[in-house]
Amino acid sequence: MKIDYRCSNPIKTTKPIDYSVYKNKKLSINGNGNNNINTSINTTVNSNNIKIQRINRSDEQLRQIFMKIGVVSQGSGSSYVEMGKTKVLCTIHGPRATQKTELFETAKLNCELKYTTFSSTTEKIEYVENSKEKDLSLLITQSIIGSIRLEKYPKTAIDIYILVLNDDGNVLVASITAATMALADAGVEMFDMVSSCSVSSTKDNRTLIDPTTSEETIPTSSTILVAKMPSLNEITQIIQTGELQYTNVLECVDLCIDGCDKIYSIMKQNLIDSLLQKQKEKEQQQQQQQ
Amino acid sequence: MEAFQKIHPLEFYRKFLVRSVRPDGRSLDDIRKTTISTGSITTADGSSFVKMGNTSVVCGVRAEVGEKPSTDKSKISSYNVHENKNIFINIELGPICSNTFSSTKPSDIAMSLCSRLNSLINRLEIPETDYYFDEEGKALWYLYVDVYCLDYDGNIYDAAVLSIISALKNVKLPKGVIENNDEYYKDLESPQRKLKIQHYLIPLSFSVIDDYILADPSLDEEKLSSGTINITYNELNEICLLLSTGTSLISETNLKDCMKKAKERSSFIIDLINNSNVDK
Repeated sequence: MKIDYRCSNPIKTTKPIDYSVYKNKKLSINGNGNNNINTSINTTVNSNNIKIQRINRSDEQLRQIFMKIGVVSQGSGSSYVEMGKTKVLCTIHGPRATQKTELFETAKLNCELKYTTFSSTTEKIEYVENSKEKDLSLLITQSIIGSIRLEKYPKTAIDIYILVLNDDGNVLVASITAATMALADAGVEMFDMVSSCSVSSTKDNRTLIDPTTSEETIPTSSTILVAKMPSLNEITQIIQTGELQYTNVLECVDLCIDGCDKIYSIMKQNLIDSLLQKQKEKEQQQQQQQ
Repeated sequence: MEAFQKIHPLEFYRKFLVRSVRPDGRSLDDIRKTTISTGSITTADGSSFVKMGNTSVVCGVRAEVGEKPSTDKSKISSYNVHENKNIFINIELGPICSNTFSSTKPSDIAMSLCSRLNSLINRLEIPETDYYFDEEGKALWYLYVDVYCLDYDGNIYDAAVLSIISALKNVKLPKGVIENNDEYYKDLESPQRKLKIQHYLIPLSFSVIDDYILADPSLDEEKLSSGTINITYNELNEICLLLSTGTSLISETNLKDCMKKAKERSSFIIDLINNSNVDK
């Protein structure tokens, strides 16, 4: 039997649910549910009967993005990405030689994503990797593997580790951005950087770019994610989940591509800025030594 | 010079230590720049981020509801060492912080650190009424404290203790409501309460290289050291934890010196924890 040595509680515990949900349910059972019909065009109701309305942000507007590279001293490259309240940290180890990859002609790319146990308000996350995390890791690998010149690093492995500190929707986009930035920080040769963007489309024909958790969990909505290399103008991955009309799909993809270009320009600017900063620091050090 | 450092790291360090400095410019007693910020993670019930030099940890608290533990001793399973324990601490040293750790199973360092931290924190005096979920205390809050190391550059113990104490001070518990006997709900509309933790923990660690004692060691120093000393005080200058491990012998005067240094740090740390909230 596999034993987990982590400290555990012998008493079974659960996360409490929001009391307002319970009250609403009670109200609707008692026949007072008529209040819920007043949904205007600009609001959408999610599973908990809470209306979705964007504050200080239009439907086609991205959240504020913050990125920083070189945050972890122990890795060969690292990055930290914040999209609204979603916070993701990524570390790269390698390209490094391993026994397993001795006979490979190209580098082997491993990607591992992990949620912190406190990153979600509703879900309970275990310490051991679950299938959702495995799935996300695979999707990240698939979207960035095309951009890396793996043939340049024979007999090595490149390991990407991603930690989701705070989940407020759109984790996949933040992770792909973080992974590419960290690869650039590690100095791994790439054809181009991968930027991605996702759109959530609801039943009442609203397309919400860069959705938050409450927008992602609307049961009837469908999401589209596009990852692309903007300078080469090549798409590396399109993921669509949920039911959508063909014309709507095309519209959403167009919207995503626009979003990708916006994120790409931020990434590029950030890399240039941090390089300039590094150069400045080096010069200062040299002056001090003299 | 870099080649010399890589081939003979200990000799390289001795050259510096003779002159009472360290390669990174610190004197032997100097502690790296320490910053604490709390409340940055919105999904957690309490959180903190601690940075000591390059070492950085993030700590999050998630509060869950469970039954009151039965007072019947035979029902308590054998591995529950601490009775009436409501705080569970885990520390994760994953591959994200250093390439020496694997993601599949917790490392030895993490496991020993975890048990040390648990025994330290469970001696904090927190009134039992603070854990009550509803007013009568039919159910209790259980706090799961998870420390994630983001950058492993030595002295992880100090960073972990600071992050845990500041995260616990940041915990805000919503008002709980029990319906139908076993359905737990949290009322987010009414004001939230804090845990009453009067105590502070002031940790300081030392590494021993030859006869020199280095405060707040970095990873390179920890690798070369033949022994470590962990000292933790509370705000009343009482020792909460004193641990000296390793092969080197430490004289009494040296140990007293270390304890004095740890004491001197207390007012600075208390100020740091009190002014750590980012919401202000």
